Formats: sequence, structure tokens, C-alpha cells
Amino acid sequence: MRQFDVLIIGAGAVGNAIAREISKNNMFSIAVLEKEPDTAFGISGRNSGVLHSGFNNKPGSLMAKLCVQGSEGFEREAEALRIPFKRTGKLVISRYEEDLERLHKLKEQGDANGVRELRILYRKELAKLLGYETGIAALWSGMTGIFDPFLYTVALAETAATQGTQFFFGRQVSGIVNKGTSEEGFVITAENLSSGLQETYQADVLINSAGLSADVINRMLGLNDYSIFPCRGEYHILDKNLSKELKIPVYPVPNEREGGLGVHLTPTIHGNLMIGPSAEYLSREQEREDYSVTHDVMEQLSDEGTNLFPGLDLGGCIRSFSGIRPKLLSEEEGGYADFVIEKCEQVPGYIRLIGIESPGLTSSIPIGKMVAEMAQEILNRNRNMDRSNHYRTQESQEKKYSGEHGHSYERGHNKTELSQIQKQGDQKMLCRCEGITEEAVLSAYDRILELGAIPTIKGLKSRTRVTMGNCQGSFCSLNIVELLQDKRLIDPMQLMWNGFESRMFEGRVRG
Amino acid sequence: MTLKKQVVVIGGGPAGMSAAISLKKRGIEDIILLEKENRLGGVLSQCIHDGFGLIYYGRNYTGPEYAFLYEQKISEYKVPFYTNATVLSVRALVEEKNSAASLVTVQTAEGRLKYKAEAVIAATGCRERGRGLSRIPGTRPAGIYTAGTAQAFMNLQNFMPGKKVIIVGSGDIGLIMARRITLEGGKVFCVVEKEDVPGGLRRNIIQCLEDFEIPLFTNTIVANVYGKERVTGADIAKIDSFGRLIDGSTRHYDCDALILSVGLIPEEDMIEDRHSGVFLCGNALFVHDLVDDVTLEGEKVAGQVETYLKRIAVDETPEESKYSFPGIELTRKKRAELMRKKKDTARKKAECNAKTITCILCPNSCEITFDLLGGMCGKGAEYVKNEILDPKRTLTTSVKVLGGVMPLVSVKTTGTIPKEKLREAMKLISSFNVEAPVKSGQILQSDFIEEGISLIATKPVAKSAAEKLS
Repeated sequence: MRQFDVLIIGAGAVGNAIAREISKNNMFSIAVLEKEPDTAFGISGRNSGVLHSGFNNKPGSLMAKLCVQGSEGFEREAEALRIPFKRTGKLVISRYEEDLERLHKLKEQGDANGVRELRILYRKELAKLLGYETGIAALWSGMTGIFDPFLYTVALAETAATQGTQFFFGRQVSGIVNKGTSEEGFVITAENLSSGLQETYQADVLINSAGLSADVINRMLGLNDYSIFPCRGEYHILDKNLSKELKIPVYPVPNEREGGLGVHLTPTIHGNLMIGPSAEYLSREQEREDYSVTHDVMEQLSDEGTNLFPGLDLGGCIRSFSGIRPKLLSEEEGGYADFVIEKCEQVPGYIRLIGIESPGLTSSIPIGKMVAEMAQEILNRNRNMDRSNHYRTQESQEKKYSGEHGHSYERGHNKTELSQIQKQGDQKMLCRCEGITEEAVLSAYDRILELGAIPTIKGLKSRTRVTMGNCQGSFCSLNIVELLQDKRLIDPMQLMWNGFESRMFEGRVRG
Repeated sequence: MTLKKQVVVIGGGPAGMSAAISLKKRGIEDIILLEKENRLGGVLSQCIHDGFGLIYYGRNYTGPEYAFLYEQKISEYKVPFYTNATVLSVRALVEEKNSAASLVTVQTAEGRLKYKAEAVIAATGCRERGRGLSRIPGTRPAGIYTAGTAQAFMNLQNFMPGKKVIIVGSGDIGLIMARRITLEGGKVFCVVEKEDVPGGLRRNIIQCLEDFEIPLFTNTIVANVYGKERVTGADIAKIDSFGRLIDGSTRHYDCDALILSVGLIPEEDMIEDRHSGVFLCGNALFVHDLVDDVTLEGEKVAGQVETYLKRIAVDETPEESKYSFPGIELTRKKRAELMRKKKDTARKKAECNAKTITCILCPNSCEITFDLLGGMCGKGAEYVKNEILDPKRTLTTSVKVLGGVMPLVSVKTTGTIPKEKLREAMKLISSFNVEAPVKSGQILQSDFIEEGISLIATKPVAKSAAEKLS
């Protein structure tokens, strides 16, 4: 059994931000359990990549407070995490007279939340700013920005890891035993999806930041007070040709009944353009993580995109994808519930984060700070009562950032053998579309292992942008396979696309 | 580092090699050919099937043989080339009017490098349309590849992209992959094409689909994809003339891969501003059906560049050509019109349902009647006679190499073998090994299946470095 002071379930932006915050002062041992092979595979990697300013949320709500906190001074965080970030501003465009009232209400709401740089623009000003005619008025939000949600989430995890947090990927939590107040914290059972073995973990403080599965984890503790209603949003990604024409995220006035902010156009930090997301609640019969794209929504997105940006050329669509919002309100109820971030009263030592949907990504660092305080308070109280084991001194000091280098080493190569042949790649371009060298891909691969994550093409993509360019991998996937085979001795038959069952090939042509 | 060159040719495929050789022949010496891969040949290396050079050379080469032919010419004419050199951008140079019109930025294995060039020939080929443009709904698991990628996986790297496959789109590469996967023991359920006529050559429909009884469904799309991590199935459905799904036409297949052959896009992204002195040729200009035309175009563009260089030397403003901006757009428009006309002809042909047999000896795909009439050359009648009495095919596939720099070597039969013996031949070949080094044209087995027919290698494979050491 592995023992920790704090165990976090879910290595998304929120879980990673919490781990980074708690591990800052090197006081506690921390583990993060994640069912996916790598970080940023769920909600954190499937969104618009927008840093919201906070005018969309109800005054007095946690959402409003944390979002504004997250937005203010994000430049500093981006610099510390070494990720690209641009405060582009954003426009909420009202196309009809009847939307005007709601537009003004949005501004009032933003003002009440303390959002800076909000202004109503009218037709002429708007056209001047955008360079084309659309809408009768708009709300300008100067504090809104864009960034890469993959790089951000990965950077949070890597920082947490260098501070001593241990990540365990491919671990699906299957049961939690709360040993009650008289004894030590929680015993968590998880299945190791690589090996198929059951593992147990013990922790004083349990933090549930499991995103789409937060209610499932909650139920494992006998709590039935929250249900998540998965609400899917589909996107189109367009090539970089249009990025010169649209540099600012453009949104419609949101419909209050809807589960999202409405289909919008967002330039990405890398210069692509995204249209989306739609909002479609998944039925109970559907798998919760059904990241399908659908015929009707793909058509709908194209139409709505052209409404916002009349010159939009959909011939440049290079990819469609979807993300899923973990909503706490059903389709019938509509709209937004507030974030649930609390020390659970019924179960001491259990901190839960449920319904962390938009603006969760923007809020993740303030959420991390808030939750870290809660956790530290519990741990310090326990220590004062002298009933904690201070696991930090026992185990994680010496294991600091060694991760669980399970994957490739287990499969036929020991570490020394690997280090002998481990050559760095050279400056040769591996991906022409995005300008990525072999060296960059190999270094990303090594960083995946160092984090304790399991290498996948998707993981390399999140870190380097391979397969994300105009060819969508039709050229570079060959080069990636060859490179990993040559320089890291990876058996291509074991190579995974995005998950444990996602083999890339069905055997060899000639055995 | 900035170097000066009179002409920079980008791309070491058939178009670039042809253009560079032709420049040399015209006495333009100060040139460099840049190739992003570690070898010349471009896409030809993975096209192990035959049918290359039938028009231009009157001979039936495989892709690797055609590439090898040009690699030899490259060394014969001493064309300087640089592999592992990826062009990042081509930009206009304004400060030095005419003396150096373009700045070409190149990433090499050793670092970054710049060329100032009076003219640039972009023979950068094309890229495949992927899932994004073809709007295929459903999950997004592993097992969905474009046909060219699947072809490279199979023919260069020895990996099966799938064993139970649906081919989406009926472009030539898709048809060729249908045959390739079938020959290697995979099952191709069908080829679906959203238009009412197939995109590929009639010749390939016959020898890649009909030979193996693979159905081609026109007016059909993929309506859904299943499988969370790897493809586990797909639905196909008929569409009407407005593109709407026809109720009740859905059919499900438990496939493990989808291979997309839904079109090619000329690759010219690296050209940042369209300026004079930049010429496009080959598939970078528009997508060609035949390598023969690409070769010819490479030679023609070299002529255009020669004229251009002469004009700017005497400070004349050169005329626009169909290879340079903005003549390119007109060329592309004409090409698109031609393709539309071709499709109309195909449609009419299908409607009249003529009692003919298509001759597949060359890409002309002439229709020959049962009275042995028709066709552009005399060979058609002979072919049809054989096709009725004793249909025969050339077999192209690959053989495992031991201790080579590549896992496979492409091979072909030196003549045709009976169609019904293709499977038997494949069985034999899959038990073969050959030790590196292998020479192009090396006989791997004589009297293969038929007396007088040999199985020969169609590309050279060197010994691997590790093998050399031991």
C-alpha cells in the first residue's frame, strides 16, 4: 500500500493546480491518480482555450470570484509556466435589437464582478475593430485572452512533479473506504490499467477533482447529493489561413437557458480558428465520455460560424472534435449552477470539486489555492492532534520526481540498455506543417515518462503539436513512429494513439 | 548562414528531380535540389505498384523503379541535392531587386540555412485531405488513416493499418490500397464514394476492385464511426442528390480501420507571399493522375525558368507563365474544368452501359468491343482476347529483408501471371526472406509461378549499420 498525506483524483488542470499549490512548500506528500494514460485528456484539453474575464457569471458566485481572480495577472502565471498567452480581448456581438438588453445586463454583471475593461461598442466602432460588418452592438472585454490548454495543464503537472508530487496514470479508482475519524483517513482502491492489477493507496486527505466522474467518486463515499449531466460541445478547427482576418474571439449573446456560451469563433494561440462549441446533453443511455462528433451538429456549427463571420471559408476545416461539460443542472433546468468546492461536512478529510465546468480552466489556479488552503488546514490540525503519519519523510523524499516509469521499460528494455542507445534526435524537421524538430518530439517523449505518464501519440501532440497541422498527421505520423522506433526502441505494435486499447496497427505485413 | 543560388528546387520527388535535371541540361549549373526526407524519390518510394512511365517511356515501371531511374539521372547529370532539408518558408526579397528575388529558409539536420535565389521551383507535391474536410461523424479512435499514410505504413514500414477495412472515397490511392490490403490477407468490405461516379482511373477499378470482388458503392457516405480507442465498426448510408441520408439505407460493418482517399490538396503553404520568380510544378501546381505528366511538366518548367532568368538578366519584366503566380490560378481553373468534363463523360458512359471491356494496359483505359474494335493502339484487341480466355496480371508486393536499412523490399513479377494464381503467389512470397544488401532488379526467384517469369526486387536496400558492424 502506498501512503500519502494528500491524494487527488483527476490529473486535469484543476487537480494539477491543486497539486502544484500544496506541493509548493514541500510539507506534504501528494499523489495524483488519473485513469487516462496522461494529463489533459479530458475536459482540460477539450475546450476553446479561452481565459475568461468573468462577466458571464452571477455576482457573488464562486464562479465569478475565481474566474476574475484567474484572469487578473495571468501573464505572471503564464510566464512561470512558460506557456504562450495573449490577452486578445473578446467581443460579444448582438445581432438583433432584442439582444441589446441582455448585452447591457452582461456588462452590468461584469462590473458587479469587478471585471475590468468592459465597454459597449456600437456598429461603427465594432466594424472598425473587426474589419468587417456584423451586428448592431457588442460588449468588448479587454481582459479576455487565449492560451494553449494542453501546454497549460501539462506545465501545471510538471511543476507539481518537480515539487515532489507523484503522478499515477492509468489508475481507475474502483473503491474508497473511509476509515472514519478515529482512524487514518481513506483507503483508495484503483485498477492499474496497464498491468490489470489492483492497487491500494492510503491518504489523510482525499480530493475529488475527477471532472466528469466527480459524482461517481462522490458516490463511492456513500454520498448521493450530486449528479453530473454531461453536456457535449462539438468544435471545428480551421487552418491558419483565416487567423490574419480574425484575431479576437467573437461570441454571440448567450442564451440564458442554454448550457454554454453559444457557438463562437476563437483564434487559437497557435493561429488556427475554432468554431464551437455546440451544447447537447447526453442521454442516460449514452456513454458519459462519448466524444463523438455528429452529422447534424457539424452542419449547425458551419452555419453559426458563417453568421458570426460572413467571410468564413469552411473549406479550411482540418478537424472536428468534442468536449463534455460536467454540468450540475439538467437540460430541463438549464443554465449554470455554481462550482461545488467544499470540505464535505459528512466525511471529514474529504474535499470535493463537482461541476467544474466553464470557467473552470480560467479558475484552476485560484481553485488550486483555495483547495490547498482547505487541505493544509486539515493536515495541520491532524498534525497538531498528532494523529498523522507524515508520510512525506518516509517515502516521497527519496522518490522525488522519479515517477512510475512503467511503460516502455517494462516492455523489454531495462533502463541501462536504453540509456546506452538513447541518442538525442537532431535538428531535422519531423513535422513541416507546425515546424517541429525530431529533437522536440524526443524531449516531449522523455518528459512524458518523467512525469510518470504513459506515452501516446495524443500526449506527444499535446506537448509539441505534432499531427495538429494542416496534414493532420498524414505525413508526420510516419516520422513519429520511425523516430520512436529508432531512438527510443519502441515497438510500434505497442504504440498507443490515445488510450490502452488504441493500438495503431493490426500486426505486421511480413512477420 | 545565407548562400546564393541561381535556382532552388524544392522537393526531390518526380517533379523536382525532372526539373532539376532539365535545368542542368539547359546549362543552368548553379542550382540546389532540396528534399525533406532522407532520400530522393518522394511519394514514388511507397507506390510499389506498376503503371508508371507507360506514356512517357512506353515501359511499365513500378514507383520505386521510376524513382531509381531518376536518382541515377541525378547522379549522371551531377545535380547537387540536399536531403533531410525541410523548407520552412519562401519569401520575396525586396532589397535586392532582380539579382535575388527569393529568400528560402531551410531547416536541416545540422541547423538552419538560407538561400537567396533568382528563381525557385516549388515541386512540393500535395497532401491528403483528411477526416476534417470529409466531415465523417462518430468517434475519433485510432485506425482512421489517409490512404497515402496507410500505404507508407504498409510498404515502407511493414505495418498493417487494419485487417477489416472500409475504404472511404474512390481516388486512385484508395483503390490501390484496397488491392494491397486484400493481397496481404486483409478484408476490404467495400469502397464508398459520395459522388455518383468513382474518382479513380477505370483501369484501377478493374484491377484493384473487380479482380477481388470488392464492391464499390457510389452515392454513399460513412454515417457513423464506432469504437472509443480503436475503430470497432462503421455505418455506411446512401445519400440523395442533395446530400441527405436516405432512410433505411444504413448498413453496418464490424471494421477495424477506415482508409480515406478523399482527395489531395496542392502543397504550397511554405510560400509566404506569392511573388515573381516562384514557379510551381507537379502536384504542387495541381494534382496529376500520372507521373508521366509530372515529369513532362518538370521539364517544361525548367524551360520557363530559363527564359525567366534570361529576361531578368537584361532587366526585362518576364511574362507570366502557367507555372508562376498568378498564371497558376488559371491553370488550376482549367484543370478543374477538365476533371468535371471527365466525370461527365464517365457518367454518360455508365448510363449507356456499353457492352465493352476496358483495356487496362495503360491509363488511357480504352473501351474495346467484343468484336475487338476500338482503342487508341493495337494492343487493346490482344488484351481483350486474353482477358476473356486467360486473364493475367503483374503482381507487385513486398518481401521481408533481413539486416537491411528497411524492413521490406518492393518486388514485382517480370511478366504477367494468371489472375487466379495471385493468391498462391502471395502465399509463396509471404514465406520468403531476402538478405540485405538487395539490388534493384535482383532476381529473388526465377520461374516464379509461371515458367520464364521471375520475381525481382524493384528497389535497392542497403545493409543496416548494425549489420555492417557485426
